Amino acid sequence: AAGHPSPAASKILAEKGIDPADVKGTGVGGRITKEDAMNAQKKKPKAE
Amino acid sequence: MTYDVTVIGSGPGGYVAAIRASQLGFKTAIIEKSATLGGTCLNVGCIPSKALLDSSEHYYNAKKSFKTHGIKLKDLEVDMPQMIKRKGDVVDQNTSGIRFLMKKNNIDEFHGWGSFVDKNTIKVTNDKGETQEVKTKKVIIATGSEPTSLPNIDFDGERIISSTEALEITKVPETMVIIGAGVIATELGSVYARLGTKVTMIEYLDAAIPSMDRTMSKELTKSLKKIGIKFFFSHRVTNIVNKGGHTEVTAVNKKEEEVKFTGEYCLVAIGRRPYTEKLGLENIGVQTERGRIPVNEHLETSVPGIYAIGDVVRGAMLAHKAEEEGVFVAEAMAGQKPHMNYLLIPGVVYTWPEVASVGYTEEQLKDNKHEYKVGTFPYRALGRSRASMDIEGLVKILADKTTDEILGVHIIGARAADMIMEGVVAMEFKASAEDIARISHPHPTYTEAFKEACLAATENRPIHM
Repeated sequence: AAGHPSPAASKILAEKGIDPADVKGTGVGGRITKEDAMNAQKKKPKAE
Repeated sequence: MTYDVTVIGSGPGGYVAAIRASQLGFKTAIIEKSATLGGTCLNVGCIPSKALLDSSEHYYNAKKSFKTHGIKLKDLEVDMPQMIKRKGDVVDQNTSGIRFLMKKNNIDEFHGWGSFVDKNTIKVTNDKGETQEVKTKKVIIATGSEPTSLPNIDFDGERIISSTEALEITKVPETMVIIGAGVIATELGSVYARLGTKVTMIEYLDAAIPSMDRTMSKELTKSLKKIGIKFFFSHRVTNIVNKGGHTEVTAVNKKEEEVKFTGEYCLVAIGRRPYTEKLGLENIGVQTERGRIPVNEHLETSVPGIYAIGDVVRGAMLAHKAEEEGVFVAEAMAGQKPHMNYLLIPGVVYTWPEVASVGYTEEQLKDNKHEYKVGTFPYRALGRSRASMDIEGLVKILADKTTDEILGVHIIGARAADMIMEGVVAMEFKASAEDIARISHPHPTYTEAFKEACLAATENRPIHM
């Protein structure tokens, strides 16, 4: 279940445009919780 | 005025979509052709059938098990007009509840047939032929479904009936032939079999509730036979004739022999078809595919701003599926990206014992060549079941052979309809069978069968078996 977003987390990540694979889950077994998704930030594109 | 969102149809999909749209700040209208809101589910579907299932189950218990429980009763009889009247009262309470919700959410109600003039104009025609136009930015089509009959056989509403009329019979029939052995057929068949009707079920396929896990169909068939229902599987119905006081059904069996059945009523419950009559889809350039309105993954039709949900689109014809889609569309219109997992929409059959499932069936896993483990636990081993005498049934858990993740949950037994939610939540959180097996379950409850089946699936180590 590691990396699996909860239904609420899934919606938040989709709206932020973040791939769940880029988020570290802190829930049981590494699940991505709503809190994880709220705190997740889109990776900044690398500076040229 | 121009509405932001107009919903055509007030069933579970339609009215929930309207409420969610209104919550999100859209000025919303709802159009319904019937006098009451609530659609099929509330008026002639889920709610009335559950009311009759509950009443008939009470009667059946009084007749069959009160004596064993130590309750003596004289003069037990069925008052069918009262049973139907109470069902009607339940329907009224529910439909007026929806009207209250519409008012509370400032949703404008229009009564009459909704028909597209163009993508932003809907003409509403009432029973008297009066028309008015509703202007709108976006539309959610939620026109639902209707019972379907066999080719060349029409419902006459009198003897050859659909589920709608089967909910209005005011005298217990002596005999009834039911075409089909799916969810609607087994539920209504249960109602009448419990009340004393000799019920015969004729199914084209080789099992009851054929879309569910085969263990469930096998167990349900066994259980329905106990209440007197006779099954004829792999029979193709070729003709149904109303002979006045009864009907005559002709079918062909596996050996191509003709078989005849007679019943006071013939209930045709072979399925439902999407309903788009008089909707004027041609005026906006939307074509149906085998009756269904084609939609993309956002439930939007080929015309931007026109969405469709529920029984009128692909997927399981379930009230809660339509509701989820209604919320999904309303939120998508607001620019959100809601979650929807079609695999985890549970299916329930409200016979007694109840049947409920979520996830993959064993047959699907086999077809997908997915390596799986099975854990089952019978109700009869539960203390709770012995106390209540509801000993029929089992919980069946399917889990991934390597990861132990639960892939499917299938329950037949007392309160399976409510118990399935443990499976839905577990699967939504990608629980393993061991996860559930290590979670405390209250004793004595039917849910202990869930825990034990998970123990059986994990390492075949149930405690009470």
